[in-house]
Amino acid sequence: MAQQVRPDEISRILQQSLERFATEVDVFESGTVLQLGDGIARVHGLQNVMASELLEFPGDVMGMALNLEEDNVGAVLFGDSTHVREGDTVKRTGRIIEIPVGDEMLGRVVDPLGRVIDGKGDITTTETLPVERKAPGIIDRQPVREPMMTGLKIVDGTTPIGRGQRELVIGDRQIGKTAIGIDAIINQKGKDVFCIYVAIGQKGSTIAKILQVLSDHDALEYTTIVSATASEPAPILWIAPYAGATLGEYFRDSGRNALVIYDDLTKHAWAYREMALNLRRPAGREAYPGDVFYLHSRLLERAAKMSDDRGGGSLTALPIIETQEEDVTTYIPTNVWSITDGQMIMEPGLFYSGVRPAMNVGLSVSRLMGNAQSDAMKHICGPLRADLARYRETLAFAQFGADQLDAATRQQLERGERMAELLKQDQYEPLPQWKQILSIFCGRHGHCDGIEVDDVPRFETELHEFFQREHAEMTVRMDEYEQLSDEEMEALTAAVESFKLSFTPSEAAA
Amino acid sequence: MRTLRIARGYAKALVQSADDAGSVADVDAGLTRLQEMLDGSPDLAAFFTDPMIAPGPKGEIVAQIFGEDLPPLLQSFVALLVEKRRERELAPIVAETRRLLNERAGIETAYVRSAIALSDAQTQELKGNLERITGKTMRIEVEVDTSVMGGFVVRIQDTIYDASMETQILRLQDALTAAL
Repeated sequence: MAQQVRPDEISRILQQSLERFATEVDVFESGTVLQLGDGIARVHGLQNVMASELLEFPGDVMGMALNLEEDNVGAVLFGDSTHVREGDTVKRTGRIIEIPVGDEMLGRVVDPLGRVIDGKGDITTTETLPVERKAPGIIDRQPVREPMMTGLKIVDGTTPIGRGQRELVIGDRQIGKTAIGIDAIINQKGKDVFCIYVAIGQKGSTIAKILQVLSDHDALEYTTIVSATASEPAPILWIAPYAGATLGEYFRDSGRNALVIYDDLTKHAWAYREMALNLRRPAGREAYPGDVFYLHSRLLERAAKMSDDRGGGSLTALPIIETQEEDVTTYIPTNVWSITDGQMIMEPGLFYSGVRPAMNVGLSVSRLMGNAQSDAMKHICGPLRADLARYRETLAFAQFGADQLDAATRQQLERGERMAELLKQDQYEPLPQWKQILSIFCGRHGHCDGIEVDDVPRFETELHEFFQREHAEMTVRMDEYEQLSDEEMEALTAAVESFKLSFTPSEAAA
Repeated sequence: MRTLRIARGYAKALVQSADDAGSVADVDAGLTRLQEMLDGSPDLAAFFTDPMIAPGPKGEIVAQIFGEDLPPLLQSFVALLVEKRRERELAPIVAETRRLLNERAGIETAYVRSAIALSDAQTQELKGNLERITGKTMRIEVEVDTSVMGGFVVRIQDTIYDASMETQILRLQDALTAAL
């Protein structure tokens, strides 16, 4: 033992606790376990138990009363049910499920019950909040108006996210859905946005990797990971996003900004379906219970931009949904789709052809659009989405005979190709606003038109370096909220032109 | 579950009718007798619950057997059970009726698990205290159970008053280990 324990100290502590130890009669309401299986207990008794009340089973296993029936109570167990036997006594606690909240939770990995699982010692917080909380009302909110930049050109340029928005990330497995969330977290560094990453039903190794990435990018200090791995019982997976939302609400309600990523809500719905079927609740479409819409709507409604009277804090939510075979029209995706303020659609076709982030710009939407962009970004990006849509339309048309195109169409195609190239971005490298503005400005205004497509990434990197070196004052200006004035735009154009003179095309391209 | 729902309906109707007829005490005593008769004679119980015997003849025979011993209301009640073919539900109906009657009279049963047999004086004291806490008339049923080690555990419906040594020791263990 590394810790030095003195015998006299032990006996003093023991003496103190003995003195404090009073013989009291323990009064509690109880029930008896009738049946147990699949992590569900049927309990007889518990006459006055409330819905969602915590129950105490033998062996320190906690449960939650979910089905209150005429002569029994259906409860889910948040732990190992092998400790519990038929006939065991179940105690009411009179509490509902809570999680510790506070700044102390930052930089830590906890399970949905708030227990530390990163081995860095106990967390002592002064406050706890219920996991299931009501979303703020209309009076307490205000419209979303500040950008919450992800650092991804394609996202911030075409489907910008605002503080307090809910934006769905949807797509097949392994095509960069989580990467968007992680990049968004990394990009919040120094922006006073606290992040919560909720992993639901994922592999332990995946979460370990995310933890490593976040810590490598110094992003862990303002982030909490709520981890419910695939090995946890369904009830733990079920409460995980609510626990994450509660952590985020702590920051939101103290006038700060938070971002919570639910990765992913498909597995969350599966966990809830498993519980509901075992509780013998009637199954509906795809065997999900009737209230599976409410399951996600009440969670995502908790993301909000608070009114100035309530401190003006915000909670932004990025729910992730995994689809099968690109089918977004199944039950859970359409549900979440209809709740959120927009969606980013990730496509394997794009991903495997090298477009990363593999976001389909045409189908992806942010319903807040300009309200979620700074004036500077709004001004530069303008009709970027429309430009790209026109490019793709022309591209599809041009496949029938590219050699007979007129000059204007050919130019549109070339510019579109370079724009698409500029919107590609490596993982874990979120860009500040000024770099995004520079890249999008060059693409949209045809400054890359003469550059070979293969040279575009190098052109972009060198352009950023050039501005950092030669026009530092301009980069500072481009990081601000206000729109660039006409004079500033002229200066920007001149600076880009001067860079182009110094840019040498690579030999292969020449 | 279904049985309970059936029993509740019959029990409520029986108590209501007894109340209207002003014969609650008679019905209470009659139910005890009915139960005793059926428990005392396995043949009678088998006949009473046999679904192969048509309600008509069974009703007549049952009326003859129970006729004199039971108050009129219970006679009709038994006839109704036979007619509706709910004879098998008699026991839960009786239990539920008892519960309703006790509830109306403000009587509760306290099930006591004690390490040693309680003296009459102790039982009376416990009864008095429990009546003071709950505001109801208590019926005490004591069971000696050495596993509580010392003291006692009282259960009234779902509420448990745990004053056992077993729990105290467990709590002391928690307190001591938590301190370290």
